[in-house]
Amino acid sequence: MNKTSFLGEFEQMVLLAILRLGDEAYGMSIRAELEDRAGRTVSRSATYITLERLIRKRYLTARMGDPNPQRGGRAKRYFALTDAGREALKVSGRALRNLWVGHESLLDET
Amino acid sequence: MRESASLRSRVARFLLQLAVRDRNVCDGLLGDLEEEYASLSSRTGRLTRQQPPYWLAVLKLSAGFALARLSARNRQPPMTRSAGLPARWNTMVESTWRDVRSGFRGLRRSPAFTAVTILTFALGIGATTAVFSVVNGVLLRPLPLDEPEELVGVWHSAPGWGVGGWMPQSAATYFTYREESRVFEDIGIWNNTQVSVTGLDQPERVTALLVTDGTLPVLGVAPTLGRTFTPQDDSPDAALTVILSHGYWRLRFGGDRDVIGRTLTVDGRSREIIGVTPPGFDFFQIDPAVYLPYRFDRSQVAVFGDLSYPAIGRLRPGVTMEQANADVARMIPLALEKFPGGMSPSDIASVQLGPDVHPLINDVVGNVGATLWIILGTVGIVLLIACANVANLFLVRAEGRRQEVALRTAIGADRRHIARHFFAESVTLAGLGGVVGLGLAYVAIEFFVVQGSQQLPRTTEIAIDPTVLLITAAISVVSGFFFGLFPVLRYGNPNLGTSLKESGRGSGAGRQRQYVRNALVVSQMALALVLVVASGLMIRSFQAMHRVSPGFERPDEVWTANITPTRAEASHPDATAATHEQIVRRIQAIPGVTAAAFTSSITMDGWGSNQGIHVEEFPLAEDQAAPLRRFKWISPGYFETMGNPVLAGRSFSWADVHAKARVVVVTENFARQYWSNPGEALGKRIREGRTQPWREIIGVVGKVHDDGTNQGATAIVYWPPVVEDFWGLDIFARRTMVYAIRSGMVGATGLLDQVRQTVSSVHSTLPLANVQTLEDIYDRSMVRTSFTMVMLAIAAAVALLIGAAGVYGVISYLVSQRVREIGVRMALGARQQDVSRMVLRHGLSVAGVGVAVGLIAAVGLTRLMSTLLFDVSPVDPVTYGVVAIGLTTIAVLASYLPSRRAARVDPIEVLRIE
Repeated sequence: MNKTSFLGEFEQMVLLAILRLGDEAYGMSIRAELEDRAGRTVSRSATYITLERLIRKRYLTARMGDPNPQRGGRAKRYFALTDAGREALKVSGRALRNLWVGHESLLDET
Repeated sequence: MRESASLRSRVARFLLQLAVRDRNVCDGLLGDLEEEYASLSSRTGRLTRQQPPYWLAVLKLSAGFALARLSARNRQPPMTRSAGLPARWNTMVESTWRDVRSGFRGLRRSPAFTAVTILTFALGIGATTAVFSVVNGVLLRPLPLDEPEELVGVWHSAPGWGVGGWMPQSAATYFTYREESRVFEDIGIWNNTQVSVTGLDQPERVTALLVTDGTLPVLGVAPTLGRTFTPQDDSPDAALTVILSHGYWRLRFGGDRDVIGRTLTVDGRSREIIGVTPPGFDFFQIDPAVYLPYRFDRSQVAVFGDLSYPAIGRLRPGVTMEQANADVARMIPLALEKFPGGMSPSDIASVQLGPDVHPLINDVVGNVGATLWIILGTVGIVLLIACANVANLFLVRAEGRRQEVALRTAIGADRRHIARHFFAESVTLAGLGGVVGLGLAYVAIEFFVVQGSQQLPRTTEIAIDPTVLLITAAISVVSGFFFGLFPVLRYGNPNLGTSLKESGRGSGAGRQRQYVRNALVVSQMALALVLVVASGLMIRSFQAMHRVSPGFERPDEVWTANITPTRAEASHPDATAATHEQIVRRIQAIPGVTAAAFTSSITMDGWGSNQGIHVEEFPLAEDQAAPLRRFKWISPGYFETMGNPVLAGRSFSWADVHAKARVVVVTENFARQYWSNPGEALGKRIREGRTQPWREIIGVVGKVHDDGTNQGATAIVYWPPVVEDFWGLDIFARRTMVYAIRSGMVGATGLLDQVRQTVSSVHSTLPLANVQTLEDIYDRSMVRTSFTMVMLAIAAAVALLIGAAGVYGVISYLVSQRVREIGVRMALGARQQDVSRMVLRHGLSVAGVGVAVGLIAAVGLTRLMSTLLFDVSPVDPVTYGVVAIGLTTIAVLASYLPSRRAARVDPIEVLRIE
């Protein structure tokens, strides 16, 4: 286990959404994806602040797209996972899966 | 459109950049927002749930980023910074936040200090906020009507008449001003009265407002249902109409919208209901149930002298008060020409009839302005005392932190940093105090509204509104800086060497610091003394008012109630008088009733009218107006019922009434204005007009304070209930009479039921109106004085409490600072009582100076409240003496505890530590 801490639940959700969106991952689409898949409302500031934090932790990179007239002439800011980000997601996912082993059936029974 | 979009994005960008430094992050965010809101507006977007407004979203994002940055910064201090204006702004926000947080931390470490400071300050700011919100609601807020600044009260001044106050309109001046004016958009007159409404469940007496057709439109009042009065309704031969108030319509007609066109029987005459006023409109708290048109017959208005109708007008846009007054002055002679036969030009000249047009709000608010401003001034003083006390606490605290300050300086904090640190702490405290104070103010306003509803107009408008909040916030911040200033000035630039050295030892040095603290306590004592003196003077006024014999005794034993036989029940004045006689005789026969009588106006009920009186022995010149006297019509037995002694002669008998004898009774002060003693007035003759028959004075009764205990005695002329050949009428009798019923059983409901039965045994449809005890009326006349007294007493008590705490704090701190010195003194042979006397002497000297300064200030300031005082001089020596001694005693008591502590100092212990 390296010294990076485990990802928070919301951080994992954001990283997974970006993974799924691929080249089309930018702020608004990420938030929409989270809302669609997770089925809960996601606050705008929480999403963007988490994105910036993940960049600081070097799990994400960002690049600017082309200016877009639909967006008031502003470019989209696209996000992509770094290797460290993939690794962190893997570690967290594995840890969670291990912890989940055997519990799904238990929880379903009740 | 394009421009507005670009402006929007520029402003949004600025807001975001306050918190987000990275340009790309910012652009990405703004672009997302733009896209999202554009897709929302075209309703094709994927995000379909409820979105906050655009600006709220921007603000939330900005705040979210700012908070995230601050908390990240606390966790990981090293952070790279970029230059530029937004960044500098960021730094400022951050460092202020840091200061506030460090302030909080410091305060958490000393909970006692924090609690005392917040509480002290909350008391001051709570009281100020509460009273300011009353002043704001009652005096400062415009009337809730259309264009309220154009609304005026139209009155006259008549200094030559010898009665104070404003003179209202007559029908003649009303018509003249309405027809000839160049300044009024329109003008209307009004007056309130009581009427009987029959034909609904129970016959009842209700308040009615008589108006002309212009009165309601002038106020901009549009009916919820139906229409307002037209000139047609207001003419003498039109069908009778009535407008219902919203409340009465809900109460008696259940809010039935089909009420228009139905009839209502008012004073025995059937009237068509033509409209309902809007909800919430109560004609300045008169709250009439029905509105009736005056229906003056313009061709019959010939008398210019019946000045008894208040008027309101709406000025044309842009007209000033001076222009309005000048125009009325121009029209007064015109009224004489148009309506001759009443007052002559020389009459007008002798009473000096002139215009008095002023903003309507003055009429609505009346004279409570002075009282409220004085109360606001007093709580302002309480706030000052609270600030002085908190400043002192801060000084003491800063004293204990000299070492910390020196340390901060040593590691590089400059004077600005230290100042900011102190200010952050004091402003944070003041802010917290302000919040707690606001809570106190909420409670206090409830109390105010309940206490003041009897005597304060516009109580419904009292609330903590944005203006009040703004003022409270401003006061909190300013006071925060004020009491933060003291430690900054004292310790902002510490002398490193001495501070670090000194603070190790329990030094008694710092004479100058002690001087500042003493000065603060002196000012607290002085201000507290001013307040206590002011409230003492109010208490003395209240006592003086209670000593006044108002013209009646044991008011708690007297019921009063109005009874008005309608035309159907008594058509002729003789019949009216006979009905009243029948009623009063039957009431007298009820077991338990010791006396009963009736009068046109009972003492202090405000229903009396003023008329001119001529005295045979003192004839007036042709061009001299007769001095005004209060007229009342009374039944035999009235003075016995009220408990006012007959000083000379006798009162009326029923024989006088039946014979319509030409006799009157006057009050003592009326008699003394002409003759040296009351007895001399007997047999003298007076009359109400130049051509009327003379009436003989047959009795003189004791003084009556008809305008309230706080006013001088009123000169009253009492007439029998039926008078022949009066004011040009063959026979005159007042229809509405107020009954006074004295009984030891007042308060028992049985008695009142018996009275009701007795009245309806005379006429089954006669209602009993306005039932109250004489004590209620009496208390109401005192309510302003008692209200002011309670307010000032509360303010003074708080001031005294804070002031005493201030003295205690300073003396006790002094003792703790001088422990070493005391120890040495005792080691050298000083006795315990010497030490405690030394401490007490210090307390006494501080208090003495405070009291002396306060006395001088009080002499100056209490003059401002002379209008509120009754029979007490603003420099009443008894009050000043008692307060000075009392305050000094309190100061000595406050010093006593610390002096005991000083006396218990163990010299060996102290010297060992040294």
